[in-house]
Amino acid sequence: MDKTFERLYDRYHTNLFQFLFYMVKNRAIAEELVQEVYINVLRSYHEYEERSNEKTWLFAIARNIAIDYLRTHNRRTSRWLSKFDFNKQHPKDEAPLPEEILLQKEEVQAIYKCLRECTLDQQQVLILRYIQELSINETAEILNWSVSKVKTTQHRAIKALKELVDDPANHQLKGVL
Amino acid sequence: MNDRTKSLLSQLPIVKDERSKATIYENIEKKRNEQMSRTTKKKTPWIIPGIAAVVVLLLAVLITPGLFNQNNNDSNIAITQSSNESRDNSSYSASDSKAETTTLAPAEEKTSDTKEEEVPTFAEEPTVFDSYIPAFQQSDGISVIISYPDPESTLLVPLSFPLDESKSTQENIEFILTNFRASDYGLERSPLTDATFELTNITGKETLIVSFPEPGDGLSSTESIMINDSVQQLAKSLGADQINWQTNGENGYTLGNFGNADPSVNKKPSPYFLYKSRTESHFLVNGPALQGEEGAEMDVALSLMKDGDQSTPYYLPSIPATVAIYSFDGNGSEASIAFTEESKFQSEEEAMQTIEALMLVASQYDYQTIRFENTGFDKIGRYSLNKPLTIPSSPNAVELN
Repeated sequence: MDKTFERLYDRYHTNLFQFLFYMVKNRAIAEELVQEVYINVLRSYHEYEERSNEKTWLFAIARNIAIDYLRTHNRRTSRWLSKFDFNKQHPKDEAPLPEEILLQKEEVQAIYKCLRECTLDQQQVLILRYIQELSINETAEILNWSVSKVKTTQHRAIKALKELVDDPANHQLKGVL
Repeated sequence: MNDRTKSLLSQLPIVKDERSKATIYENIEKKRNEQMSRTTKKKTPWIIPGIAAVVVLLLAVLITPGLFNQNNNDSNIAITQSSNESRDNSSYSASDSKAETTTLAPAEEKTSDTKEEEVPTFAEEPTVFDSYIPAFQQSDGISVIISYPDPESTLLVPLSFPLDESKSTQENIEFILTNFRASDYGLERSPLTDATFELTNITGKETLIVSFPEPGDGLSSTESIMINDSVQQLAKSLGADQINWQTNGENGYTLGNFGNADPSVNKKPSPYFLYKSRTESHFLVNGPALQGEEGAEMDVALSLMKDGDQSTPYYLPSIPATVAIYSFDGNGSEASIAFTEESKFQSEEEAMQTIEALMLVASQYDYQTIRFENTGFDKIGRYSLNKPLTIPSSPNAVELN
């Protein structure tokens, strides 16, 4: 077994998998994506600069892979639907809740459901800050944003999430804005 | 209660990968080997693709003339439909309708000219919309922005005019101020009508010299703001680094109670809103400049463009309510904006207003190209959405009357 893989797995796998799972909200896809992360990492590990933080470097790769997946998925669904002119009756994502979430109390289940309704930017910040418990600086480094953008997005994300939890009918058009 | 939300978030369970380390490594190795064999396979059997390419080339040579013929016929149909549509939608008479003349011209040429090798160029012609006036394109040369106030003097509409490089700045601006009839678009005369202009280099800095014939001490606040903002817009469009304000050729100009006019060019970003004039022309206008941290990130501008500015109701949102941005990403000089799947533009014209507003705001954050996803259109006006779009130079490219 490749030593780099072994070391990275032991140190980061749980967090990486968890991050990808909450990004895509699907265990099977997270399993695929985490493998994709390792393939990319092993391919480009020689380019990794010691001076940067290994953890944030890994998470940045994972984040890009998740975003690519979500974008492609979003685009494919959209194109497929547009062929049949189903735009107006676009079905909502009704994927069943994962087992781990179903075991939680109702309030936590509601947070998970509402997280899906936040914008992609907001979701990334919420996952990194409150589920992964990363610092603002680490989050900024992973997302390649300024610290102030992380703070602003975090503030808006918490506000949006609270509004969604308080009034689940208030599901507006999902987007950055 | 935000703390409660944060606490609930942190209670979301740890989700573990149930596979073993060995299984994951095995999968990774399998995938890596597959990828490697795919790349090596690609290197050796070049003969089949080579033969295929030759066959395709031969076929292309054989059928290209036929295709050109077909294209020309299709173009004629499209042009005819387009001209019919503009005839239906337009309230102008047949003789003075710009929409008809611009769309009909190529079709008329086609009927009288049967040269097969001539490729139709109408796709590059700017599309004429019922109300919205598209932006000035970089490919169309250099533009200059002259601003015109609305009848209530609540805002300035920046209009772009082509700059004739063979003439001086003064000649260009004088020609525009003399010949452009703002009233045709429901706008008032420019606050710069009586001023003279010169663009010159003073100690390595491009300087716009603007001279007013009368002192500005007696100007009202509104008049002062209109003059200042018009000069600022003009200076920015000419690429000036500073402004030399003069009164009758003497240095210095007073803007009413605001005092001495500021020589620096305000390059702070501002959101682009939509303004509908009384003649139902739609323009993109700059909202108030974003200060400090607000201006540092483009998403603040986007947010304002989506929600409108509550304090100034005449600034309409340039991103319609039926549209939301799913993600915004910047990578070097290229930005990428994806709309949500549910987003729907009511018309091509509405989509055009929005994407141009987004491109113009992105240009203030140094983006040069922008890629849009999920607009629901393959082409909007002259923009093909399957590739990154070059950001236009300036908003509202009007023609001189």
